[in-house]
Amino acid sequence: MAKSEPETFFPQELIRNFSIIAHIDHGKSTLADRILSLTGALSDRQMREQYLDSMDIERERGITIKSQAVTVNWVKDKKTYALSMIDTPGHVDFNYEVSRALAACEGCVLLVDATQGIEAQTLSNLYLAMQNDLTIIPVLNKIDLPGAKTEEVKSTLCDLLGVEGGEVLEVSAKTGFGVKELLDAIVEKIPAPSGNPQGPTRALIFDSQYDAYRGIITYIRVVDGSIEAKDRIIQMKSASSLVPLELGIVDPFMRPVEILTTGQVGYVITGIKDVRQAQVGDTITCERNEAKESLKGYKAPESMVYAGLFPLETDQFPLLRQSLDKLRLNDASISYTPETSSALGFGFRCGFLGLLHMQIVIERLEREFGVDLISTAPNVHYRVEMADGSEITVTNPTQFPENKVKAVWEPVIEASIITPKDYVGDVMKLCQEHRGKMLGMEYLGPDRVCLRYKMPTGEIIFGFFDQLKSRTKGYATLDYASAGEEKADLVRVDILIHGELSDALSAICHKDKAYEYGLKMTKKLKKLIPRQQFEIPIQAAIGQRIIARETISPLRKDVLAKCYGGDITRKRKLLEKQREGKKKMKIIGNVAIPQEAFISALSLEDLDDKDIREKLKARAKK
Amino acid sequence: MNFSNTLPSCSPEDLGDAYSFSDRPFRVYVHIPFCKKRCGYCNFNTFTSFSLAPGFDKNTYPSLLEREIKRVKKWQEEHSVSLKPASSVFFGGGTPTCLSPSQLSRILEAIREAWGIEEGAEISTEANPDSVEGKELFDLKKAGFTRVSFGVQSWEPRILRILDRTHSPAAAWRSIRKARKAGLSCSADLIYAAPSEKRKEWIRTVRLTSSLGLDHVSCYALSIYPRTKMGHQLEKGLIAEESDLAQARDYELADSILSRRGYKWYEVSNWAREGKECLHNIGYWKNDDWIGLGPGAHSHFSNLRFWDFSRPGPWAKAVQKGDLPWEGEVLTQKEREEEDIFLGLRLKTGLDLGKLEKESGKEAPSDLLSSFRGLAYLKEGTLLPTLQGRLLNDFLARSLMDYFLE
Repeated sequence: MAKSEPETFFPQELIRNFSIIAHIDHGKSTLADRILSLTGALSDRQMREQYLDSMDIERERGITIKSQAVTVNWVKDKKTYALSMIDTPGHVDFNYEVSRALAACEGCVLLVDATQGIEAQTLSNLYLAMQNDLTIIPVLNKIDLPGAKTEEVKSTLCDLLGVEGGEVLEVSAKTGFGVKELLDAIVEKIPAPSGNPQGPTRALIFDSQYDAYRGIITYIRVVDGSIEAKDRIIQMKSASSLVPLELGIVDPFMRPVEILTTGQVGYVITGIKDVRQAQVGDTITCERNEAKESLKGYKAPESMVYAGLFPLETDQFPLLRQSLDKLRLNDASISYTPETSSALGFGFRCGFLGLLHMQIVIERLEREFGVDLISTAPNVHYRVEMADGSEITVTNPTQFPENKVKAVWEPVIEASIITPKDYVGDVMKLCQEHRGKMLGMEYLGPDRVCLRYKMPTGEIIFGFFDQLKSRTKGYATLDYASAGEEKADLVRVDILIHGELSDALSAICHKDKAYEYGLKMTKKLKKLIPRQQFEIPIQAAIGQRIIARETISPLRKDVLAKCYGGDITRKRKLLEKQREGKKKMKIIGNVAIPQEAFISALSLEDLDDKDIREKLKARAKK
Repeated sequence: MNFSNTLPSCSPEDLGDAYSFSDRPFRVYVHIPFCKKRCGYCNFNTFTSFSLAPGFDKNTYPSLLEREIKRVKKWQEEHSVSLKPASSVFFGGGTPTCLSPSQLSRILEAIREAWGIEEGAEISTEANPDSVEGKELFDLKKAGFTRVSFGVQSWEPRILRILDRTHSPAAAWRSIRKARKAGLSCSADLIYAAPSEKRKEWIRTVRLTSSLGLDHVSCYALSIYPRTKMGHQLEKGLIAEESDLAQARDYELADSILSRRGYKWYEVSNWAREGKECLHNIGYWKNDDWIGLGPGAHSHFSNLRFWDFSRPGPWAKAVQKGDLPWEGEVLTQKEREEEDIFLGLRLKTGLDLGKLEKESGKEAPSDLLSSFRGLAYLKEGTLLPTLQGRLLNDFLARSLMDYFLE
């Protein structure tokens, strides 16, 4: 299809803004690709798989992290419409970004894999769409696959949405079947944007990205009035006033325009490089037509998981700070404050939306910014009520007070787990092991059950998902949302190396799990710390009480017996190499510990050890 | 094994130009790279073929060494590298006794002719316990050899099999008796911490060794290197390396048995009767000058360390062409100081800490010395290693370097 120069000016009634929401792997990116090629926005040659997922990590992991906004043209009944498609992430960690994207839309496509059916996130995304009062177009994907249970899934979807079977569209994003009909339905069903074109100019910043060459790129949706390229614009919260370097739309290439009118989605480049001046959720207005009242912004995202991030090389600390500043530009959900550790040096205590989010941030810091990192074990935050009535929020185990604690409150979540009914027993057992309280259980069709549990956040974010998958052969899906906090019996377990506290290894645990943590950490360290000239005790302690201990026996002999044939050079090189290696080690309690030992000790990998299993069993009997 | 390619090397001419004068004694080492059979743990530069390269075999080797000797002397003269008679000569290998006594004495004569040998100098050769006959030992004595060092390793047939040695305990015993009869000062090399060796086996070996009228005993912990026969066995899990704890225990046992029988330690791995220390060996630790002859042999002159090509082909080619078959390095001041530290610490005479403090302008802090408690002690400005400090010699060396040479 030959592509003519696209129209960039659209009257309000010809604009449609929508999102595609789906559970992970239900084919959202493939559908977005198909829409790009079908509307001629991308020629076949330009077509790349999953065009919208531009980050390496997204492509590798097959998940979408960042929302992006692409405008395509679609002709229906001889009228050309501008469809702006705002991409959303599919993982539960990124629900915050989904809600942000949805706030810039009037409608959404609820995409469900016909071979999988409704999953936990399908539900949570649907509820988000309902909260935002969006028009919902239900769509079944992958109907061409042999395993598709089209009718069964369709009827569940109808029950859920209260619609007739005929209203559920059937597509195959892979082959393109049904995608034309879907585009027509978007034009027909989703209302045009409702803003006031004559009103004072107000545009919502719903995303921003840092580009090494162009500075900050801000994505906006014009809600009322219009913005012209020559306008002096004002960011209402930061009260900064600037002339944009460029105003444009993404189609999916960045295309400069003269004006963005009511309802349009586009971008602004102002040349600013300071992260804090482009806050997502802020309102943009212009001097020509200045608004007095800003739009309702977004609720700041809540960090669920905290961990210390430290550069492996201490001289990379400034680089880490810069990198975090830049990363925060297109990921407003990261929070960070400087912290110091005796074991790991200078770094930041960072807040993340979840464990996957944390892993992605670490990967991006390492890959995009070239910082080599070590992270402490992640934890959630706690509220500690002291005996004197004061209160502390603990995001780092070292802040956890040792005594005079009246009560500790931990964050809890409500989890929905959807599983085939054969695994209900296993799932319930797993939830109990993680201190879950059952809230309810419903059947979604003859074979699928939705279990609802209240659980401590700290129990669900570390490895729970993997255990759930392995106990249900991969069938169960999980979604969760914060549900306040509850009182809990928590203690801090410290690790002492040769009598000295190693702050990076402290952990806050439920009382019943403290012993296990202590046993595992001391065992791990015994294997990881090289022997020295003296005996090294490794202890786990709660306050003054030692709960587990391992001993590293002293090194007795390190001398090379022979310098064969007078080869002194070799001996000298060997000693030099050893000294170089030792320089990179951290000294705790007079013990030189290689950085790798911390990395391995802090890895989430579980230690399966016969001795530990037996000790825990013996303890349970008591 | 050839390590030279991992080191910064410079040409023999550069070496000569960088030489600075030394007044240390001069010693000669001769490498004989032949063996009838390679032992399981051996990673030395030795070969079981008697014909190693074109024009390089057992019969032509003495003449190749003669050529090398002349070339080295020429290099010394050209660069004013100090020239003096040898204080000791040591034939090592390989198995020097793969060559006949007449071949060995021919090499010795070439050395005498080039540099001269001091009156009463120590002249040693290593010998495999089953490779020498009584007549040969008399011939060696006649040629001027004063000392012979036998690779006994163990008296236990089971351990000799594990080590893949060819000789029988009885043959070793006969060889030592004959050597003593011939009037040679005798030494035995022992290996401890062989895989699966029992404590009582090691005790038996040391006891028997110490009752044979030897002048000198060396004990080396078995080191298993990759790409050796035992290295492969280790990789496959057929044998296991003994822990440092077991090694330390064997060392302590040897030290206690030998010292009760009149052998005193003078270097980490060496014990001797009073006045019978191996002077050539001590020379290595005292930073004497020495020339190494033959493939892979190391040399040292003051601030120069260099080594002969270890592969027989290139070595023979260079020697035949009249080139110096060397690669080497010029030591920086810091490297020399490093060496002084770890070399000195290996000896009973210890490390001159006062000299180190004076040169560095730093005084050893008390926490450094207190971290040496039980490992070394100070006596009149000299740091002397204890029994435990001999075993943790590298720790002592690294700590001192970290403090004084930063």
